[in-house]
Amino acid sequence: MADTKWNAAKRRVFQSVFHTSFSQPTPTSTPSLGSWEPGQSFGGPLASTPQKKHADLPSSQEPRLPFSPENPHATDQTRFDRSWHAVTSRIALPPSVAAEDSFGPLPSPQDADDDGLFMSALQDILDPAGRLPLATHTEDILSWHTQQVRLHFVNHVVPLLSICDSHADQTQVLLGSMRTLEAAHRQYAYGMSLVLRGMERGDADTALSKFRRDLHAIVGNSVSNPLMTALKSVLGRLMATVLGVYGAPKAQPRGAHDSPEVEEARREVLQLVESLHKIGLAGERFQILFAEILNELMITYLYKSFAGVWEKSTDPYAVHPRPRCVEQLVAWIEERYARLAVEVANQLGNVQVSWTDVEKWKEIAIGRLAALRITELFDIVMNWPDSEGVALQKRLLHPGRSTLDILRTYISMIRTFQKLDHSRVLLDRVAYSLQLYLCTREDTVRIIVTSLLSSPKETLSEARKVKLVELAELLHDPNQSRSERQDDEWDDLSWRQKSEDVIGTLIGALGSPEVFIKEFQNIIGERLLSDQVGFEQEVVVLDLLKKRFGESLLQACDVMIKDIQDSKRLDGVIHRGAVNHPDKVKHDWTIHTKILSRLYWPDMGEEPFVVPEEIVDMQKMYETIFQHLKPTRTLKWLNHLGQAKMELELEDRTISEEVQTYEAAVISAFSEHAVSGRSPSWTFEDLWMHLQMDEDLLAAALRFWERKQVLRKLPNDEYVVMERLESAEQQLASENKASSSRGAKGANAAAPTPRKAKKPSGMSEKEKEKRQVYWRFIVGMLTNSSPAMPLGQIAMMMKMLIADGFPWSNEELQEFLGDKIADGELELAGGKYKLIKK
Amino acid sequence: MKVKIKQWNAVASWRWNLPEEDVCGICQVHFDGTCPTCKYPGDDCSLLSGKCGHNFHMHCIQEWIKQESSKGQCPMCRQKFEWGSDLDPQQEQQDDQQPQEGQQPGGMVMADN
Repeated sequence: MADTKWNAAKRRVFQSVFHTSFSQPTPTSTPSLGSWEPGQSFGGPLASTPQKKHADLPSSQEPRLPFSPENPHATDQTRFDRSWHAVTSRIALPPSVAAEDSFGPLPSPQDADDDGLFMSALQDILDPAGRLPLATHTEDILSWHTQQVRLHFVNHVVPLLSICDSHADQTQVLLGSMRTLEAAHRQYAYGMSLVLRGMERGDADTALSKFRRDLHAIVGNSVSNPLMTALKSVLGRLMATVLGVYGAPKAQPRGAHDSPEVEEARREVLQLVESLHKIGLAGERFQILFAEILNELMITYLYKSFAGVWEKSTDPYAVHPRPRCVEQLVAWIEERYARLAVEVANQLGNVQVSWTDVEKWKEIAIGRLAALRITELFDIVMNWPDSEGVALQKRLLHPGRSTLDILRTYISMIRTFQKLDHSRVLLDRVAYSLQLYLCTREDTVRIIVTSLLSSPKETLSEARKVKLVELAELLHDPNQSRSERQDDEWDDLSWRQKSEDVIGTLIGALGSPEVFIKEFQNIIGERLLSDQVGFEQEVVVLDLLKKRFGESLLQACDVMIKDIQDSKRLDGVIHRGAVNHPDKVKHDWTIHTKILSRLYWPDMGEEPFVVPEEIVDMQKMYETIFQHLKPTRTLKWLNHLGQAKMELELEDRTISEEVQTYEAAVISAFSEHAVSGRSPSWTFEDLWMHLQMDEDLLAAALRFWERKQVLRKLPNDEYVVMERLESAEQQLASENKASSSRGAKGANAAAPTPRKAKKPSGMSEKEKEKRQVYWRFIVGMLTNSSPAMPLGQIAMMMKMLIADGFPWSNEELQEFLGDKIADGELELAGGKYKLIKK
Repeated sequence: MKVKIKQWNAVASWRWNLPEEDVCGICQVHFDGTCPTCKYPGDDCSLLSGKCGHNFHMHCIQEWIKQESSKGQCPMCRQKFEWGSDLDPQQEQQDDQQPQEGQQPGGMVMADN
């Protein structure tokens, strides 16, 4: 009884001092230093414990341990209490806060003296039921230790950790915290290991893992945010080095050894992870952190390595060629990314990295690369030529931009996108609005065709401003033409990449084949009829167009070219015939003719006029010989086409000019009209009657010769030849002085007029033909559909019925119908047109 | 002023000596165009006139006469198709071509039925 009282008293004292919440009395003693050195300071709640009491206790009570007092219950209890004290005092944690890295030294080996006693005490405590069956108040030493660890951690370690957190340097934060935690661990583990010594193997393992779990939970839960930040920054930096995110060796060959710094960083990462694992920081939070860092590094790597770097596939002959960036990325995932993840996971022990994870990472990485490329697309396109970051529509597709500019942009788009995406899906999507817009520009096709036909020699000249010389260059680029020409490369799978096929894309995207071909026909028509010699480039472009649109659509062009070749040969034959002909013309034989197959040439119009007599003679002779060679055919002269080389002998000068035929006819008329002693002159009216030439054409020709200072317009509207230049100038000057500046003004105003003959105004054969077709349609409509129709309805029907489109405006149609009314074929009654019954 | 024409590059077009708008009765293509099998008009694709006064692309009428069902008749008037003389392409001196087979009058004047 006394014993219990004594115990109760002790318990009260203990509790009053330490405020512990232990449910069971702690016999005999309080947790204390297993061994303390004099002068060592105490901290925390234990600091108030009288030093002497502790010092006395072991010596005064221990010797009594082996003895059994009279009361067996009391004896067992006492013995338990004493053993408890012996053990707890041994494994009690030091309250040190003196050093960051230590909570006091571990008990030194000198304690081994008491090992026997300790072991026996430990046995008592671990197995009170077996060894001290009569002790009623027993306690579990393991939970006691866990409890004290928990308290110690909260009271001593956490404050230390927060001191560490306040470091400015992240590395210091991390290292300090880790040292602190490691030291604490060492302490906790030491006490535990002492206890475990007395336990069976199996039980010991169970107890240990339970203790670890508890401890890790405590540590894990108490990790502060600054520590996590520090960990993230330190770990992130190391991992970045390992993964080679920044300035990684670009083309690291497979299996090559890593550089020393990478190896070093890898070692550090693994060490760090290992120690984190040991001290319980490698829990869920760490794993999340690690995953986050990996994730971020993948993105960083993508941007660092691939943003703005566009390369083609390394292996163009692969069946599914992958861009180099994808190959590099996949290799990186396999060799670095996954490797690091596996190594770290191995350290953690409880995480497995499977092959499917690696595959998934690859997918994610490629997906992100694609996302990166998509964001870049816009930049790439917008950056041309000097991006202001405004949308395509606003910047480019407005009337202020020349078609040439837009085409240039389109070409650079084609080139860029070809680099990014061989399948051209993206290009089609992006370029769609541009294509649409270009189709609305009338000169688009003409620019392309002219550019294709332009000479590559024009590269550096002014031509660049009006033509897409790039296209001609491309056309003559040996790489380009190689792929265009070799037809036997059908089985070459990489054909797409060989040529960017800018030309092809342009032709394909802009306008229907018909439009293109028509334009091409017009342009080569002009060229074939010019005095140009050799048409190699025209043939090259023709072949290109044939490849794209098919031979049959371009048959007319073939005929045109053949016409010119045939004409040349036939011209030689006729020339020989003419020279040897009995009725040989008295003039030098100066005529050369191009004979066209009329249905195959673009509409040339018809502008008949009187050509100089000698030419008429020669044309007659030409016809005769032609008829002789081809008796079933007739020639028809198209006098407004063609050129003439003229030599003008004036009193003080001789002028050589290459001119249009109508210009030649006009100046010839002046020489024929020469009256002796006077400069030849014509009035406009007389000349017009004489030549029977279209007024506009005549006016253009007169202006041309005025500009050449051969003709001069007198105030009385007479044109006169300027035989002598100085006298004419004097005369001109005096005229200016005397009356008005009309003459001079006229000459100046004439200067900028384009020399090119404007579209002939007369009705051509084709036009007549067209009118006949339309008339047949209208007659048909008024016969079959409705006997009387208003203008609008006729126009609408025509638009629907005519396959090639009906180009006339309502006014034009009205004029046409008016002509028919005048011809007596149609009548207009009540706003409706009716056929006149015959 | 003396004007000397050193060279005159003229342009002309040719036609068969037939009304401008006429088309071949078989292929319905302009005479100045080609029959469906030819590419180049003129020398390569000449015409043939029957005594009945109907004209065709030579290749068109040859194909027609080859068929059993034609019975050697002109597809337009069903008279016996015989070589006309007024528009005889055989007379045309082709400056670089030998007369083609099948153009012989004997070959073209069809058997007597």
